Amino acid sequence: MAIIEIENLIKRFGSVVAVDDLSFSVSPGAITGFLGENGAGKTTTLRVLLGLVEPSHGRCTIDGLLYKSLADPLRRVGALLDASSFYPGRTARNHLRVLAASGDIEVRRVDEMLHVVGLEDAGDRRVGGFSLGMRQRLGIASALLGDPDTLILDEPTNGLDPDGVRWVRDLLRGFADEGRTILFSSHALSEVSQIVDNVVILHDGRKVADAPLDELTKGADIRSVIHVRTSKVDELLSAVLKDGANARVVATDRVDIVGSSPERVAVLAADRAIPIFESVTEVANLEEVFFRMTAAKREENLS
Amino acid sequence: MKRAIRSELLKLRTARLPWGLLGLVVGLCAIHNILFDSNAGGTGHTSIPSLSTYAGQSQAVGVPGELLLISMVLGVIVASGEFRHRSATLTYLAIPGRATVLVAKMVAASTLGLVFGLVGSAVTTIVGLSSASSEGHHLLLSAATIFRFAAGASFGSALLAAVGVALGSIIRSQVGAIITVFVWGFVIEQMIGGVDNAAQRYLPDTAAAAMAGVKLGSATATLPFAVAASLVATVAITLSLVASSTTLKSDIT
Repeated sequence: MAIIEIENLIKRFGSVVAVDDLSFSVSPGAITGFLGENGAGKTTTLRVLLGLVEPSHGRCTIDGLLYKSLADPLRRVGALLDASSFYPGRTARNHLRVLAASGDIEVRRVDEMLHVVGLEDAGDRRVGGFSLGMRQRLGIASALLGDPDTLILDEPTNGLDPDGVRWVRDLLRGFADEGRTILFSSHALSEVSQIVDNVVILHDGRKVADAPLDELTKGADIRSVIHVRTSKVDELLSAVLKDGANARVVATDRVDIVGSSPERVAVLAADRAIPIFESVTEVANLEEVFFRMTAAKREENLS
Repeated sequence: MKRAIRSELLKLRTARLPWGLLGLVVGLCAIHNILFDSNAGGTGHTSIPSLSTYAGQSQAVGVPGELLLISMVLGVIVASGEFRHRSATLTYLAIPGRATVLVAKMVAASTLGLVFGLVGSAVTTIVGLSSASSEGHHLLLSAATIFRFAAGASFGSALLAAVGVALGSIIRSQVGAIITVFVWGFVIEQMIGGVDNAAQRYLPDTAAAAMAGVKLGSATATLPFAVAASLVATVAITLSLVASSTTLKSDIT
């Protein structure tokens, strides 16, 4: 059963349509990546979901309820939206104490969370002196403070060093394995591909993909590329084209083939006595998927 | 509501600015009244009555009315600071009811405003009584009168802090809202008083000062305590209703 439901969401800011008829759902026990370029509408969608922005049309619910109807929102949903949204003169510990008081959360959770995010030694420092990475960790501590079952994170790895990114990855995986629900947005696709189970891709406020990551990268339209090195490029090109695949000569001794398999290419080459010196298969990754899908959408919009 | 108020009070306790403003209240009350007392009854300063008189001693122990504006500035900062530092996002994630947050902020700011008034009164009372005593004047004010002035200053200060919260919710630009407070207190109320002496007492800062036993500017007379308190409270409630139906409904982006 889906925990987060976005139904026919439209959000307009004046004449600008930031989100256009967006629908998707997020189920527990998995990490769902919400991807899109800057300005695609990701943050707006998350803010509508969290009751900070009024939708022009549609409905966003968590556990069947609007965010503002949740009885103990901090205990139900942990959210990180903006790592710079702290009063700079307040210490990290006091920031979490204020939040704990708002959510009626035990004060002991404050020090626990500072420890979890690695800020225990910086708890009494004012947030104004924090680096972006430290603010991001504090933001994650704020999201985890109420020990929520649902996490909604907007670009949680922004400003984190490689260790921090890995830490977020492990943290989210641990949460998902506990059966919690995780939706997080990002434009850092290489990082996302190592974390997510499911992907929702947004382009210009519209959904262009919504599927498990494996399904997307193995999808019919998103194929792996086989880079073949041979001395008979024209013969190989002709053979694979006749076989129904797409191919093009990219160098005097190289052919790139899409829509076939390395085994099939090897058989075609052997039947025609075409020597193959090298065959490398580049598996389509999330980045590839993303760029192809958004490019296709861009072309569709132009035509 | 209880947790919202507790959270807002904790915000005030854990920020530096409110304590800086309290220091400003102490410093300005002391400086203002020391200057006042040293010029009281002197030649060339006929508008300042001697400390040997009831009127002179009343003014000597009173909180300067203009300084009550600092409480309004406190309220403005409590409200607009959330937008300046973008911390409104977290505030509304924790407590999605915006009206609840507004009321909690008004209660918290009013509580600290009350403290500002009490501390300011303590400072001016100590300075005023010390000056009168050092000049060998008998104390003409009763303890009840001094207490009434202090209570008036405290309640007036608390109500102005609530007005500030409502104003800071309407004008989200902190600088703009603070400028509005000072322009209102030092320019507009005085201008209106200059044009119509009788009307000035119905204006919020002048009414709050009247609660502290202080007559501001050209006001010919001051309003009774209960009327002045009702008037300032009405301004706070009206502005908060305006904020609730306008800016507080807007998107937090």
